[in-house]
Amino acid sequence: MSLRVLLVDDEEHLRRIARVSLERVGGCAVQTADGGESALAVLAEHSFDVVLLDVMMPGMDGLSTLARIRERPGLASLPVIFVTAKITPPEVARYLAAGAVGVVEKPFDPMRLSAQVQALVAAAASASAGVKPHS
Amino acid sequence: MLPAPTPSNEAERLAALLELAILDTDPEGAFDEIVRYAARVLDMPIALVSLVDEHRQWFKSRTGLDASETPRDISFCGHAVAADRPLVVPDTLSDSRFSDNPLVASDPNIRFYAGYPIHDPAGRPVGTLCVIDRRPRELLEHQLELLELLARQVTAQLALRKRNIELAERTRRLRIFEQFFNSNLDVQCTVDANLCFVDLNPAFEVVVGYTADELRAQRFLAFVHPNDVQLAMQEAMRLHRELGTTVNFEVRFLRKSGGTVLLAWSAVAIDGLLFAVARDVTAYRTQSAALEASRRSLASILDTAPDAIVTLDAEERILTCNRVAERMFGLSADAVRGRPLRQFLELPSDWPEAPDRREGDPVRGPLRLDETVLRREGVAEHPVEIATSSLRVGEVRAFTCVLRDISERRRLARMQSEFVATVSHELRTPLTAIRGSLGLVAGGVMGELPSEAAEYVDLALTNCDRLVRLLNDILNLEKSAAGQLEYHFEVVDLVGQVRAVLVENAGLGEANGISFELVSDTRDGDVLVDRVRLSQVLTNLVANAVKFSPPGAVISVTISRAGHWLRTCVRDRGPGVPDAFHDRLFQRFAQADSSDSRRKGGTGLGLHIARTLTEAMRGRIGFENATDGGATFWVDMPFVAPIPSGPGDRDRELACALVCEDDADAASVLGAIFRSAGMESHIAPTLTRARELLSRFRYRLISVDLALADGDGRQLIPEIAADARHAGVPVFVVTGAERAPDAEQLGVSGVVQKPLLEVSVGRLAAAALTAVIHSPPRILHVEDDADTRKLVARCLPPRWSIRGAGSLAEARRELAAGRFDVVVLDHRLPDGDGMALRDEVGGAQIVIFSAFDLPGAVVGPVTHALVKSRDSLDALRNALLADIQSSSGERSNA
Repeated sequence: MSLRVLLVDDEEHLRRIARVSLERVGGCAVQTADGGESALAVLAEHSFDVVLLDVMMPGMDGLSTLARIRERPGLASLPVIFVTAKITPPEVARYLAAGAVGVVEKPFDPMRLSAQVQALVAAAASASAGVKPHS
Repeated sequence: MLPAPTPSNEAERLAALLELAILDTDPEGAFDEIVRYAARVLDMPIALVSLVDEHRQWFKSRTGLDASETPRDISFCGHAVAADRPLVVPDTLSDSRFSDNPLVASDPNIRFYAGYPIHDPAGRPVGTLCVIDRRPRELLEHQLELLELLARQVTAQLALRKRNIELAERTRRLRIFEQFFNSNLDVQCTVDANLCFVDLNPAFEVVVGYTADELRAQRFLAFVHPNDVQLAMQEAMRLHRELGTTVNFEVRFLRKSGGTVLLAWSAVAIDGLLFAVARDVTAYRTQSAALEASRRSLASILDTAPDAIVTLDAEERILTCNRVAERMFGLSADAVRGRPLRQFLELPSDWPEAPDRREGDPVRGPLRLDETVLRREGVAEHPVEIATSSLRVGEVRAFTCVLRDISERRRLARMQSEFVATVSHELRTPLTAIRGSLGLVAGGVMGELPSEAAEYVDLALTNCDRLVRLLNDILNLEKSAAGQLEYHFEVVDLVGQVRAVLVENAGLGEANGISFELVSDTRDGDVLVDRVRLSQVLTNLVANAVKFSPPGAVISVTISRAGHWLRTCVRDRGPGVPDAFHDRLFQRFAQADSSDSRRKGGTGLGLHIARTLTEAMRGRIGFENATDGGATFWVDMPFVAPIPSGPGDRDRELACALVCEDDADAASVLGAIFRSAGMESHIAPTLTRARELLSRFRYRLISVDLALADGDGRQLIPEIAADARHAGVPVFVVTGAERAPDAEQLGVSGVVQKPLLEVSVGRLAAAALTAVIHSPPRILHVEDDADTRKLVARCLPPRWSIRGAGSLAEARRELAAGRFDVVVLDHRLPDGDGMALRDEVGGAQIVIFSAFDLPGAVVGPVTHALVKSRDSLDALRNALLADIQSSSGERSNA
């Protein structure tokens, strides 16, 4: 099953590399956005299995974007993964508390990226199935 | 008989008599001659100089009479004195005033009396000159006149005598003043109207070198330093102008041997003569000038210091402050003096507890450092760092505070950390792109590469990874140096943690052809650490070992217990650490061989970071070279005794104390105290562990350190109080804070101060002893020596019930009357061996305390056999405690 991924990063080069990695190594269906605002616009039109969010972005940063996503009906449990260089324990704790399902460290290994994403999405799915068996 | 009346001026008259200082003195020729003359020329057998005292008349001079005095009420002279007129009695028998007077009726059988009053120099009658005969007589006019003249002679003699006495006294006092004058260490002189010396005391020779003789008649001003002559002149003129006024002035006086001394004069003019005293104040003025200079230099040092410096009294009120402090507070030093420092600064409640220093002690150890906020009306708050040191001067406590405005430092730190964050992001973005591109190419996503190209892309990838690691290390280092790393202490299972690290690094090992083996000699090994940081340290040591070991090697990791520590050793199979590198190994950018860094891909920061993290977790790190090659790196972490295994019995009370304490040394001291009272202890360095233990066990005594590794121990106190199973259990707070909080306020049984000294823990130990035993145990001591029984009783807690028995028979009576927990037996008793009782003691434990060792095995219910001369009373007490505990354990089991 090919994962539908929304990739949000303000750096065009990184969007390109991650897209190639996810598509060619992981066989994902990837759409990209260059910031929080445009990500929210894309999310209004299309549905995804997972969102990869950069944290430090001009304008709306990753955490605010996540908060806005959670406000949308139907997106309350959409898996979101932060892809960031900021991964100290308190920072990671903040991402998880905000509702992210995991973190991928930058720089990432393009050969492993899609596997990491799939693993985090699968773990989140089984966790939510465990917590809410009837939903 | 008519007694002599009392004159109206009697008191004054008696005072005059006393002033003459003549009563009861020796005979004097001048008086005796007058008396003898009077008797001879008037042909009288008796003549007297009689002085009329309060109750008697006393004879300064007498002839023809043996008595030296007679009572006043029968005296004839009293009448003459009272009337202050001559008294003549021609025949006493025909005078009703005297006819029945005992002096008439019997010896000296006076028949004739004639007396003339004598006076003191002020004219007050003090007595008489009188003549007496034993037959009636008549005196002719000229004879009476003669008597009167002689009486005047006596009066004149009295005046002369008084003058002589006064003169002698004045001479004596003059001699004393002369002594003062001569022995005075200050110079003293008189100077005449021409300002020439008249009299000088010997001190001049000592002070200025000239003798009194050398200076006498010399001009005073000739010896005054030329520059001071004018001043001296002025003062001298003032003295003559303002007679009787004391004038003080200081002038330099020439010394005989050259140079000058500074003399402080005090002079007064009386009758045209100057009386002057002077003291040499040269040394005093020099010293006070030096003192003033030193005070000024100190003040200028303080005032030019870049920091505010404030001293406080024991009540934290400001004593002194320098200029910077004045500017900081916006008030003058006078305005802030006496105000509490807290008026200006927000200070923590435990401030200013700081390590004490004695006056003159060098500054040892860290001062207390706080960061706080300066509050001042009309000015924005700004951050201040305050270094406080406490000082004892004698018994008085004071504080010195150095305050530094750290707004600028804060701003720089903020800029620096923003810079670090920016650099981190800015560097990582291109690195992510490079790493990603290379990864895709190397991974063959862009198609197969020619083998040579693949080799170089791999090279680029390896170095890219190294760059990422270097960047991570630098950021880490930056944060730990800035104290930005937070540590979350918890009790962690070390073996599990090491195993997880080895699993994480298995891939790294495989890539280098290296395998790991884990050996542990402890089953339960908990440590007090930050889990993430510990992982970082262990990963570092393991990765290091992999880096330096040849392919195919086995890296062994061992975990062992060493006192308060759990030690993890990582043994590599590399070349070992070169000797020259030992000292630098844990320093920044340390690499044994700079070519290493290229070959091994290290950053030179790993071990430095490992040490920083380890020490921040109160651990130790080090290494040693093995004799057969390779190096062993070890890291020690504070050991925490594991929670006893097996199901905890929530309701059964343990003979055990709970020690909530994160400092291993303090915990072991407390453990020892409780052990000496016969109580084991469980140790909890964290709130979490304490709560876990409290929920699983029931303790008899709890001690709580206020500063636990993961929070404030205070939180535990209400929890314990609310826990029904620990209701009434004594809780002691152990604190290192100098101002210990009040036990009552905390709601605990007591507060014990660190350091844990014998005295401070006395109460704790006593509480422990009482906690061990709920109902006082009953002891029967069978021993025929009463002194030994007394000694033993004295070493046992006072609550215990102790009965003594001196013989088997007495012991049997006691055993019949009641039940005992322990029976202490002596072998040799007057009516047999104490062991004869061994089957009659009921359920009691038996302890032998005897003068000799019983050969062979101890039999039956005997738990301890102690020998009087060999084992101390302490040993006996401990044996009893152990027995009572085990028997109380059985009781609660039953």
